[in-house]
Amino acid sequence: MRRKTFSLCLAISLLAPLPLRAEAGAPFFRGVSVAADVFGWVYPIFVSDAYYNNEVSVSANLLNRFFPVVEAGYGHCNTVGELYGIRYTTAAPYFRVGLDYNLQYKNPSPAGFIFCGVRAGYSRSTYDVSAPPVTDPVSGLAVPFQLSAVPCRALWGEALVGIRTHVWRGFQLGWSIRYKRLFSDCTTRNGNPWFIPGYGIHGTETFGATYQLIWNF
Amino acid sequence: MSRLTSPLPRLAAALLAALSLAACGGDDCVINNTVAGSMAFYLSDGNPCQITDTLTVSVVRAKGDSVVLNRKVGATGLTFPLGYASACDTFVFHFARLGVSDSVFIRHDNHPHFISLDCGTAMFHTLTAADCTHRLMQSVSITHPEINYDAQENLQLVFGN
Repeated sequence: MRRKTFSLCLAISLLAPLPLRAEAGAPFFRGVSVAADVFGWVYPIFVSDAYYNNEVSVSANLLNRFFPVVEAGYGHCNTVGELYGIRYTTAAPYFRVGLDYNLQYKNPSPAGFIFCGVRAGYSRSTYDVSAPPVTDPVSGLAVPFQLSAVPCRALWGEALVGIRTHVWRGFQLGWSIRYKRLFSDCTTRNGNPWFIPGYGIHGTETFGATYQLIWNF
Repeated sequence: MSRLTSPLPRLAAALLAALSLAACGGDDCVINNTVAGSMAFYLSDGNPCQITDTLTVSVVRAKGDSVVLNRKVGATGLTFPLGYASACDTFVFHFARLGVSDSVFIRHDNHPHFISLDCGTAMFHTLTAADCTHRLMQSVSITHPEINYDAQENLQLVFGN
């Protein structure tokens, strides 16, 4: 069931070759878009600066139907848990590549379009954990808890749906909601990361959202 | 605008389905978060051994020993803690009726283990070597070197028949 959900957009994106014939004579390449994710910039200012991802993306418009996308960003986390006083810090770049598919390809609207897409994400980071001292059960002494530069190479996939709306000339607004699934989760004998740059809070699956300012060229 | 909204019910249904699936997951804390080694007693013929004598086990530390098992009769094994900062711990087994003591020496690596901000931390261990004195004990061997949340037999302590 989970695989069906995750592969829904992949199937829609890749398995629809028939209308390509209707595009005969129309330009294949329709332009390039550059986008910045507002959500990642606003969230740490108005909500919480405990963790956030800042990212930009570049996409190409092919036949006004397929949109290959490259996303690059920087994920940051510096937070202290309220329950145990554990400090967790990490910061690293991340990258995603993928494809968006215009679901309104057959019925284009000047107002914008709804799309779905898939992404493959990767980040290589290290994280630090420090916690209040723990009591050694043998000696009875307090022992500091410290993990430094624990490596993490994370690979994940995303399935998303979103909307792009035309605002003015080449300027658009867009949002997307993303289902994310972790493929390699960096679990070691020291545990697992709490926050993965570009992915979010560690877990087999999670959700994310973007709100983008988009410029079409 | 109606063109924009037409596929939305299907997309919303797919999103709700995905959300409900995700709700089944999560990074829940373990219920039993005790990290301790487990030792079982055996006879040299391989059968389990029950100590009929009154057994007291204590772990040696700089300022007075700490009792792990107190005057137990009929012991077939025990769970034991390991030091977070030490690389070797010594356990003294005292058999009251016989008036004899044996010692078990356990070498181990310590691994600070981070679970999550809400579930805390733990200290896991890997057993690297084990030895014992030979008044009543014959040998000690490592069966499962990793000491973590999984309850399993880590050491086999063999007594002479």
